[in-house]
Amino acid sequence: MSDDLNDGFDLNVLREMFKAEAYELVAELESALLALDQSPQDKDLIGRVFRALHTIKGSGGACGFEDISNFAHEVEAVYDAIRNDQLAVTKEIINATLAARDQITALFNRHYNLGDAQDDATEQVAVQLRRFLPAGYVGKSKKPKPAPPVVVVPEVRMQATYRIRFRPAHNIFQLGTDPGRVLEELRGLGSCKIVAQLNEIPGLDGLEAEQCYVYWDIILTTDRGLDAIKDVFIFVEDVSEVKIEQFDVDALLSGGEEAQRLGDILVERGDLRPEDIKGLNVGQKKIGEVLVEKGLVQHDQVETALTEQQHVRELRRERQKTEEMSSIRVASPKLDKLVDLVGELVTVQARLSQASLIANDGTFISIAEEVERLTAELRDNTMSIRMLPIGTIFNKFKRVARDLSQNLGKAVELVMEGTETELDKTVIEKLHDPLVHLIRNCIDHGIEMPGDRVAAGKPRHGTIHLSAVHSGAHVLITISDDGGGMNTDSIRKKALEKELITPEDSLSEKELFSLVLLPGFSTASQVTDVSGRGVGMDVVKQAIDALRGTIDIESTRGAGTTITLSLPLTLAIIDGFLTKIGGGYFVFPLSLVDECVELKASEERSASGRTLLPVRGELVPYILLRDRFAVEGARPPIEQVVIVKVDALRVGFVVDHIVGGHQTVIKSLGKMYKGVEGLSGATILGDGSVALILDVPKLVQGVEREETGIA
Amino acid sequence: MNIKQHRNGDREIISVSGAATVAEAASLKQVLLSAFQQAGEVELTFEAIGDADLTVLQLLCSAHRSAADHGKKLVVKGLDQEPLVRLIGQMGFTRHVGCRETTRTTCFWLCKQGAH
Repeated sequence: MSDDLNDGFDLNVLREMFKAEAYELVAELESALLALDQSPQDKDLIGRVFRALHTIKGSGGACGFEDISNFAHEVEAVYDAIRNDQLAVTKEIINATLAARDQITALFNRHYNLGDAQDDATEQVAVQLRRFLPAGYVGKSKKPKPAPPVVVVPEVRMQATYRIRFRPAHNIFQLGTDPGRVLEELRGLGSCKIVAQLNEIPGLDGLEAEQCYVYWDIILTTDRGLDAIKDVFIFVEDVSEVKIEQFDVDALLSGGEEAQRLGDILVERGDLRPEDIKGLNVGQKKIGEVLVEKGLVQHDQVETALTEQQHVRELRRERQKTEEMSSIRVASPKLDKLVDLVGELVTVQARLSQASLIANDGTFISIAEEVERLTAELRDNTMSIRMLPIGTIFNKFKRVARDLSQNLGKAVELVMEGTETELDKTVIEKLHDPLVHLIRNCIDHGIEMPGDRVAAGKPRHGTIHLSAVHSGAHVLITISDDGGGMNTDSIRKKALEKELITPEDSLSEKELFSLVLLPGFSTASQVTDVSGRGVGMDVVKQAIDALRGTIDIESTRGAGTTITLSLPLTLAIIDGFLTKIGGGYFVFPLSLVDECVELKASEERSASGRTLLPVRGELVPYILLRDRFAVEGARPPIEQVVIVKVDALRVGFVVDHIVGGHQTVIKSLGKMYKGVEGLSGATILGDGSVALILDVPKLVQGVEREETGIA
Repeated sequence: MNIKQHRNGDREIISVSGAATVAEAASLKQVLLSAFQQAGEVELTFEAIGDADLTVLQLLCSAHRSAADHGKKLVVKGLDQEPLVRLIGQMGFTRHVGCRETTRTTCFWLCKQGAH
């Protein structure tokens, strides 16, 4: 195929259009393969793998990526044989297909100038895959041929709405069938409304209690097709009257806002003649009531029509929602730029608000307030655009867990929860490497060999839970395993060897665990290529610190380890709490602030060298930020204590004045401030001055260290 | 099915517990029939209902219509029990208005914010 123009269409444009989809397809292929590895008999999963390969082959060919198209065809042939029951899914086939998937990714990378690919690897994997095929196997999958550009249309099953009448035989119960089960099966096919027709139920005298006098009108919207509906009735069709009729709901849905009128529905259903409603005077009454009173329709027919009206209304709402949810693809640098601009706008808006207050002009103040409201709305909307579900990276870890556990001869299952939890794209990107390391650690150090697990009375398979959940302005990511847990004796021994602690130090379990986050700390007796090189956990700590997050470790010997990462939702703009010390401004992240109290010189007390403040009967340790940051000047007679809460510990920070809430656009500090502990960034205030953003967890850790005396 | 019955003036009080399926439908019908023969008002209470199917709903409809036709009164309690609420929804019995002038507001299947 020519790389120039093809039917007036630039191939490069097509390739660029296909780029994002190409990587989605290889991700889908990987995800389907990993699921198939767990359920090798699952026909749906085999279909997913086949479809992904088929689309890669077709679309790759259309884009002129013939190497990818031909290679995908080789892989597809294996899955064609599997689909036709000529071949069974094995671990070896999955391994080879995963290798093929990696090679396809490498080939895409090469085409898109994102990396290189080894051509001989393509042939090696292809040879390996051909060996799986039964001798002389001729598949149905067609060899790719250069094709003109095609629009890749995903497989779409058309939704249709049906009116169904189900009238079972009176003696259906005696035949051993409960009509309720049939109705339940129909419900399983899609959006379904069922109206029992009760008009044929006789009075008590004439009722045979074991007979069925009820029949049903059903409105069903499904994408499963007519055959699937007929299948539901397969066991009752001989003893029931079943009428299925498709009706054109699309015309109703696209026909403006008004719901179809009840009379029209009754006419359309054949329950009422059109001439019966012509000139019908209903006055104040409802049309359904009038029609029943006049004996033109039965009460149950009105009930069915009302239900159909409601069903169509719901479909319309659903369609509107789907339309609202439709999305466009935007290059992420454009979004980053937008966030930067909004950040600048928030800063300028603060200046505007301040200037309006100084000018003390009513009109000016009112305009500034309006700008403030709009800016806040714009900020929230912009930030929400950058939110991505954390599942986008969680899913990548399945492969990591599978490959590593296979290499180490361990049996490990990775269970994920809360994959829909949203987090800023920047945070998600920076979270990948630390999470990979933590999962590798769990598999390498945490989960025991299958034999050891069975001997310890545990299931052969180890389980790693990876979960994410929102907690206020933070997301908590938990990685827990049911492995051997951390050995406090080994940690203490290693810490003594490295002179991180002294023999006299009495450390709590939690404090011992936190030592593993220090640089160069590793208790693994053997260095493996996976972990145990003494680097890793400190790198994880640095990465999480850089995200203004915290790490918490809990472990029980023999039962497993749980590591919890607490991360801010976003890195760009936060709600801050502005304070003043001397001539300088300091910002606390508002989410950490618990309360503020006053501190008079007379209230200061000290115990064992620590300053403590009584707050409603509780003694809260506090530190003077003025001293911590060497701010010059005299302390005012009444100071303010901002009490923060970090990991259940309440600590007070003494400042001169409280300014109040502040939209804080975070700017990173220059190199000069790199070594300063306790500051995480800076922000520009309305008057152009700079406020420093406090790294509260670091400051609290400092207080903890001082309290426990750990260096 | 466990059926208990006693009289309070002109009111026959019946309480039913356990299964309410096709296997018990005929007995319950007989109990209701005889209750209506003896009293002007019947109060039927469902307590700790286990399994239930269409026949019990059908029977209630039938009894309610008979009562209305004969100028008698049927009061049913305990329809808010989970197995019955589920069954009423599953069988499509929920109604916007009662099927007759006399049961317009007393129909057992009137939807009250989605619950019975």
